Amino acid sequence: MSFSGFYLAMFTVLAALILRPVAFKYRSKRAAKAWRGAWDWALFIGGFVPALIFGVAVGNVLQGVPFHLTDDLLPVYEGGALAKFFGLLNPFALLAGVVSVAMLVMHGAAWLGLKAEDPVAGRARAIGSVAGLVAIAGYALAGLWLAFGIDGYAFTSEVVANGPSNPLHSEVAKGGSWLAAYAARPWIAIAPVAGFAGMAMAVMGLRAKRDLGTLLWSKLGIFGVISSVGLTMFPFILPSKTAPNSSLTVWDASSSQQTLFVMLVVTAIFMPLILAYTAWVYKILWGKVTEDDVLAEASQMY
Amino acid sequence: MEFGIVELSRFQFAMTAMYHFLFVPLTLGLSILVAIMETVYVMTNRPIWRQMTKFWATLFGINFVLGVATGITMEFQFGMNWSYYSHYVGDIFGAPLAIEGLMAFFMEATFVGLMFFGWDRMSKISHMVITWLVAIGSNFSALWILIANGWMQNPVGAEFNPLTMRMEMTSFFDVVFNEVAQAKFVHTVSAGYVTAAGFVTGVSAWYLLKGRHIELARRSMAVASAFGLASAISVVILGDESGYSTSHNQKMKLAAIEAMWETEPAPASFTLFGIPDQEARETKYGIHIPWAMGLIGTRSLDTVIPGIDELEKEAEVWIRDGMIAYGALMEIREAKGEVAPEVMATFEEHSEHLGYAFLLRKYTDDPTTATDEQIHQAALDTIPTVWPLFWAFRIMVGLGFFFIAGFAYYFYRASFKRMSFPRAALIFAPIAIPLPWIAAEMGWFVAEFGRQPWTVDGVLPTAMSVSALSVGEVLFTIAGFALFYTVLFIVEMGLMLKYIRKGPTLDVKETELWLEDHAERLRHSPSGSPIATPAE
Repeated sequence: MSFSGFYLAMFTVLAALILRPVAFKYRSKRAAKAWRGAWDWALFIGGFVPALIFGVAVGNVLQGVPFHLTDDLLPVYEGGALAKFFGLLNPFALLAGVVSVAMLVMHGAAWLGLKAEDPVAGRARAIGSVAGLVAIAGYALAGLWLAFGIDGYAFTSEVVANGPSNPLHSEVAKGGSWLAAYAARPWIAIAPVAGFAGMAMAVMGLRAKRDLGTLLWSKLGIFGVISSVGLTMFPFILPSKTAPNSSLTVWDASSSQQTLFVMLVVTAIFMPLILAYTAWVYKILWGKVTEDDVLAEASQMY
Repeated sequence: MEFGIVELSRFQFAMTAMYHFLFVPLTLGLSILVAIMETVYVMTNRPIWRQMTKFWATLFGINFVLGVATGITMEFQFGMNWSYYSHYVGDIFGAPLAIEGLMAFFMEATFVGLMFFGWDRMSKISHMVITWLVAIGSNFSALWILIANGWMQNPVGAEFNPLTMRMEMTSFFDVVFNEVAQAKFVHTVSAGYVTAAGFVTGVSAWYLLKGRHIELARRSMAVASAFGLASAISVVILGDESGYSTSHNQKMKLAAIEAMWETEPAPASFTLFGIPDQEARETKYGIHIPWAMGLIGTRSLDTVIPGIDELEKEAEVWIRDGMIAYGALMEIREAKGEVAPEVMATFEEHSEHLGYAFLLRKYTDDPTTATDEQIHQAALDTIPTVWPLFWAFRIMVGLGFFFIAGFAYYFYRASFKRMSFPRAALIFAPIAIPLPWIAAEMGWFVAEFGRQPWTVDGVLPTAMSVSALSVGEVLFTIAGFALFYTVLFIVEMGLMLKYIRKGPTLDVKETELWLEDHAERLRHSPSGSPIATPAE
């Protein structure tokens, strides 16, 4: 439902996501420099734009989004097309976008350090350790901003966890701090701790040229940063700043019990399978990609 | 027709869906053909089959990636442009889409990488298994997408919950084993096989015509014409199955396809040709085949197929019934949780036709007080525009029978006439490459346009399904898609033509190794070409 509210932003993400797989496949199909250069840019856009906009989206969700639900439960976003689009680009949201991009650049650098040789790996490590520092600083700044500059949301009516999935049945008010969650559920501090520790260790790893460990620390950092948003906002998913009662929460924006159960079973069966065959593919393609490999296998790949 | 959000959103969805389906059928069929060729390679160990596998897989890859990329658009649009639809039926519709991701898409997307990059990193048999997994993954993808689409045509296993204002799943089993979905799945994948077979036949014929890559072209022709014949027969038979399931689940769609204005005594005749006139409700200059429609549509001599007039009257009755449900729904909403049992009972008694009351919202804000005239108008809206359906269906079916004849011919010449083709046949096959695409797009048009005015048949009108967007926003994205997709199409066609012109790459090392291994036998073989022995 946030897709329609973030309409033009989602269209931009979509265009970038379309470019990405096409660029991977088509780049090598012609030898011309202009062709390859163009697809290199397409790959850059395909990675940069979604990373930025998803971060910006999270930044907006934390502040609340201007929408209300009609009696039929149709979401209506306030403002015209341009106001909706440029409204997303506020300072806090942009900061979240920067954290998102920097964090993923760090991760990409860790991967290149593992898979590539110098000079590519060296360049990646240099860029990645700067990006990691930016991510750490941005994440810390965003945390302070949340503590002092941004209101949280809370239920004002009784929380009914197993009632009908209808956001309009509960009452919500803006006010207080999101960070109150850390007083109510102290254990969730593990998420930001993992975020900071993972990113810090990844930066040190990049500097010390440790490959595999760096990638795993970077993964932990990303996992910590993303889960800290969810754990802090819980049970809110998409708060509304103009009509708080319309806010979507875990309790009233979920699927029916039947559907949730079906999907739980399907996921329990397929997730391990997916992890197993993906691990196997990684194993087959394991090892550094060297210049010799690329030249030797050029005729075998297509 | 005025172009508001509903029309623009429909236009955009139709445009992006039809574009997406330029790539899907070739993926479905070519993945299987490539897997068959690689299996022959593993069984015979002949380099020519490896070369064929790689050549067709190269073309497969160029096509596959755009199928994947344009598929993202389809999923995004449910949220971007059809957010009320997503809210109203997401509880059911979302499940098969998510399962498609978990069960099929991850599999094909993960293994397609190994298919292209893994040749030298694993045994021949492992690589063949990978290729089959890509093919199976692609086809499983189609299964779950068609389960989702089948539910829109025949919404089983779900009921409306007045407290959450949406449809909720009651039986996952019914959703998965929906007869419409199953019939659609086999019909659609067969159409994909026909498309790929036509593509391989066409390209091979072009090589034969030019006298290039003869060994590859002859074998490809043999595989593709046999595969194409089997697929063309099954696409027609399974299309009949799809039509049969329509005759009892979507009667209005069937009546519109046949331009059957009045109910005829059973068994009804089939209108081969004619000019449907929706205003006058008659089909001019019709050529009728007695009994045919009744026999095909109902598989009996005495089951009546209702005509449009009768279905319109039925819709009026259902609208009135739906109005009672709508009234009760409003009372339930007012009561905020403390609903009187008799109101609930009234609602449940009439809720089956709630969707029909929604049709009135185009004419009045309060459907419970609709006038007779408004009810009549809403009933008229249940009739889709007949002539495009009538013609699209006939083009599709005509092409289907043509494919059977065409593949039978190429199969016969390839298998029993030692690949001797008249020049005209070699010229015709490449020209005919687009025909299966036309048939497939017509098929989707019939399925989706024929369901109008509903997104979910009898449950949710299209006009209610859209997001609260401005005209400017949708116009902007339509223009964006048109521009972006045109560029991608030109790039894709350019690469396809480049790699078809270039032809297969000879695997020198592989061929030499094979010649060494078989040197002894070849010395005693009378055949001229060592790579392709006729004993094959």
